[in-house]
Amino acid sequence: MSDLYTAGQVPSSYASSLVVRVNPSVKLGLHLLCMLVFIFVHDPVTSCGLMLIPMVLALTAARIPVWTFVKRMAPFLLLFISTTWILSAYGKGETVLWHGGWVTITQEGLVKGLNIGLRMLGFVAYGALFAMTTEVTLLALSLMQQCKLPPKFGYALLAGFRFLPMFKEEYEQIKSAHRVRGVARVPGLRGKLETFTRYTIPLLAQGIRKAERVAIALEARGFDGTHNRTFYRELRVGANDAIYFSLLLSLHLLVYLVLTKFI
Amino acid sequence: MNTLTSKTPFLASEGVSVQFFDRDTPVLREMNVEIAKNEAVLLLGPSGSGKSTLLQVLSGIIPRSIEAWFKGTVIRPERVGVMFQDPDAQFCMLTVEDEIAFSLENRLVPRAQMRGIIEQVMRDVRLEVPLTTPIRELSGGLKQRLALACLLALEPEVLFVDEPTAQLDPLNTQLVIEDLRRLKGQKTLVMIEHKLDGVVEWVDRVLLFNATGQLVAQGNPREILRDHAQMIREYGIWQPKLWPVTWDEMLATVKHPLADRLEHQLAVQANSIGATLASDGKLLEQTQSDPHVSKAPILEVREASLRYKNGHVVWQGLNVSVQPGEWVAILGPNGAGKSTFLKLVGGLIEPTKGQVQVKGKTLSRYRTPELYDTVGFVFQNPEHQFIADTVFEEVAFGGKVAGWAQERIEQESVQLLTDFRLLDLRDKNPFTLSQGQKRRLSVAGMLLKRQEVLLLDEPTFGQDAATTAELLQRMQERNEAGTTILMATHDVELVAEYATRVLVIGEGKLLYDGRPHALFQQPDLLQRASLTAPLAYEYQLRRREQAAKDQGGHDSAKHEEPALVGRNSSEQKEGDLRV
Amino acid sequence: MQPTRQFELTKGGVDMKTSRVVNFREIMITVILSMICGVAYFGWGFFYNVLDAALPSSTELIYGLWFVASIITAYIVQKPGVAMLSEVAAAFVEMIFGGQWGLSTLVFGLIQGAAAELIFAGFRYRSFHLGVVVLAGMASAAASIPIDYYQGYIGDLTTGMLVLKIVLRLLSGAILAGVLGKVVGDLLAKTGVLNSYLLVRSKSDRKPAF
Repeated sequence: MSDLYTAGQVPSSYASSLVVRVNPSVKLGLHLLCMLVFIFVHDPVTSCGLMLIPMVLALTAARIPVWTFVKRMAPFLLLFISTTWILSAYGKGETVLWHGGWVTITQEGLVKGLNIGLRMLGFVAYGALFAMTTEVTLLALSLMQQCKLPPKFGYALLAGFRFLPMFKEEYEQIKSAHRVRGVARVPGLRGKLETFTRYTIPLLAQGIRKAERVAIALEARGFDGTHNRTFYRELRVGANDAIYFSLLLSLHLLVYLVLTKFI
Repeated sequence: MNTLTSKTPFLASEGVSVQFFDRDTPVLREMNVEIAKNEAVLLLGPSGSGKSTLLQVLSGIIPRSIEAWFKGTVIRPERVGVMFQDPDAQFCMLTVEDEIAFSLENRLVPRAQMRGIIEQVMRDVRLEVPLTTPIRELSGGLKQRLALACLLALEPEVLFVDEPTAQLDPLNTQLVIEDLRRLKGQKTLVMIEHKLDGVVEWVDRVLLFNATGQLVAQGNPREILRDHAQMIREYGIWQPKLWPVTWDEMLATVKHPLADRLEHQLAVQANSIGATLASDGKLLEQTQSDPHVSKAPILEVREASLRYKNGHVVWQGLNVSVQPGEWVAILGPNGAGKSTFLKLVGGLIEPTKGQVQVKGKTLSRYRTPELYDTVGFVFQNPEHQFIADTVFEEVAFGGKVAGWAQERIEQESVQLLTDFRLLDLRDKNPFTLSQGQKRRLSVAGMLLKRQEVLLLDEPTFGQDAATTAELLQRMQERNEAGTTILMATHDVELVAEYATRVLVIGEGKLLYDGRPHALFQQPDLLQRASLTAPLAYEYQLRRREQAAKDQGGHDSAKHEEPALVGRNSSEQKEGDLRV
Repeated sequence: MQPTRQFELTKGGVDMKTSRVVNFREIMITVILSMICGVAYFGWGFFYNVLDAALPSSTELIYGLWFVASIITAYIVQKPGVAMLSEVAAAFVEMIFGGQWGLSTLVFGLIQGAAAELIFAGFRYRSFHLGVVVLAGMASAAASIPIDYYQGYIGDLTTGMLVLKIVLRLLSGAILAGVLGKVVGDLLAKTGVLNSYLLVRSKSDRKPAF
């Protein structure tokens, strides 16, 4: 899990890379499009090729350090294996490869499983590439400026996001306080259930209070939630976006060509 | 929006009544208030007196952001700004410049002009940080100054201020108040502020409200505070420490009554160790002792260091040994690691290096229940401790877990609830209590098991004078009965009066460990720790300075602005505020 | 010198009606509550993975928690748009932290939120009884199935397996989203922080005393 304090911020080491400079809304749109491509692919080899695109981009055009990217992706290998396994073992199919107990691995199942597993990895990779190269502030500003998201939602998202680290601290405090008071010592399932509400209710109650305060403070500063405002940072769609689009397009064509010509 | 004739008041409420949806009675009833241009007005009253509501009505927060039943007319200039209490709940952007720009964007200021205005308002509030500084890296005091900068960017004609210093340490409180003071005469100021020092001296008018939301009196501060002293005391409003006396007056007068009182305090504190100085010889003996000799310490911290994973060192090499029965105050700037130190002692965090012993046994060798039968911990936010649905259950909880007999639980809980004036509320949900009641409950809930060591994290923070006095009374009773108290606080007066010993934590280490009296005579050290001296000690310092000056043959009639001890000289620069 | 000054005049009568349009304060609490849920969702993902690897399909039982944000917030605010905003805000956080469904989290959020929203709209935002919130939880669950199908996670399962999954998921949506969301809302109401929201206000017949 990325650090709450730095989530949504791009480290300076690769802040000047191409992918970071792409307009966040454009990037979001393009990534969603690329993900859509996966849905029309039904063989694992192509999926594997497509999956490699965001990974290659992450390490080249985004200049994310290899180790950082690997760490981010590592937890999802487990998911890849489990997804593949479930579909291989429980999916429909005729050609039985292996049979044991109530598990039957069929060739069709395995193909499906691998395909879906790789598709999932591709989705994760596009998501990680996006999240690791996008400043939350710029994303919200771009959604407001390019996608006409009403500012009352855009700034609410930003203000809310700023609060998250505080809630982590709150949570730690509550945990400590309950430890001192001996909450964990209440026995039984009922005790455990009560423990859950004892954690969440103060946290959410505090969240509501903070949210109200910030809403009042922002409105008191003349914020009316409409598009009737100027912007200190104006985001545009420009050359970087065109380059990124061409890059994604050519990589997809490349995958297509390689697979049709050589396999 | 209306363009009204010149006879319309500048800022006024006419026949305003307000009732919140969850109340059976109105907070304000037919309220008529009129405020002139460039006037500085202080709203004074107990909590629940409707002063915040009036401020919200005048500033337009009610009914725009807060819905309520509302009747009447409010007239206000078009551009107003409101400064709030919570430094963490008024921003939405990541960096300082974006946050100030947010104000400008709302006003439709063209983009090209923004940078200049941002730099200007930052200079105005002496916010000397790079434009791209992330807001979360600012201290509470700097956040409040940023909030002020964001308001100045609105170019408001009226500035409403709702207890902006409630969460700040003494030094930052002074700085924020000074910023406001410099705006006097350029902006209309409508303020709510509990700490009257540094404010009553310069406001034009005080509006005094009673507990039922009526405007009882208004007039210049001197008259209001004199004529209604009794009521103000009953309401638990903090009295100014010095005002209406001035330093000049006091130093020039022979045998000034306040000076006498301060001299007496000093003498008492010099000869003894604080509140328990009384005739209680036994305690005196215990606490005056050198930590290196005498009995077995109840608490011992050896070479403790704490470093976070990101490399940040909170403090290192702490060595502290506490004797049973001591009342130890922990002072230091916001963010110096006072709370963290309490958590270390309370076994809630582990040191990176070093160890902590309670009653001669290392913390890691304690079982959790066993440790917390010995050590109690009152957290800064009372709500964090609340685990039961009713006030009674909240106090009784410890007894239930410990498996006490029903009668004993009932009897001792009721006793505590009586002591803390909470018995009438025994069936209420703890979360629905007032701030003062929550605080009293959180302390009461921690006392049932009569732990030998009590750790308190800023227990008097944000409390009114009445609650503070009451809490200290209860803690002193416990202390006299033998409980060892460690308390993080910002309140130097409290430390001077009650603590037998002070630890000052700052700059990543223990800056001071000893008696309060000796600490307060070291202005340099106080400044490093973002502290101010208690009034008596500031008096002493000024007395000495005066004596030195007189000896030097200087003109003693020279007028001097009340300078503040421990103020950072670099922050004393003048910075004129824009009109 | 300005010849005339601009004034704002607020005049109000006691008959101020409760607007059915969300105000900024309500948007803000919706977003923050949902974002806290979003962090929980993120953690829930890891739990889901472990459970999935160990005991496939049992994960359907815990799936419902991913819809709880929209139920809690819609139940509190009781105004149009809240359920949908809520799931999107939660998904936003989950996505930025690097949740396992990457960008598709946003799509899930949008569609699941919309499904719950439809149910509340069907009752014209006037009824938020247990039955309604349970139905909303189940609607979110139902809506998540086609997306899973298109993403391919479940489309190729054997029929028996598929039916089992759907039943379990609906059940989970009913309990972990519907019932739990209402319970959390009611517990929060007891703390007094929701006194100015419709959840509490709609139950009171107070009148102004002036």
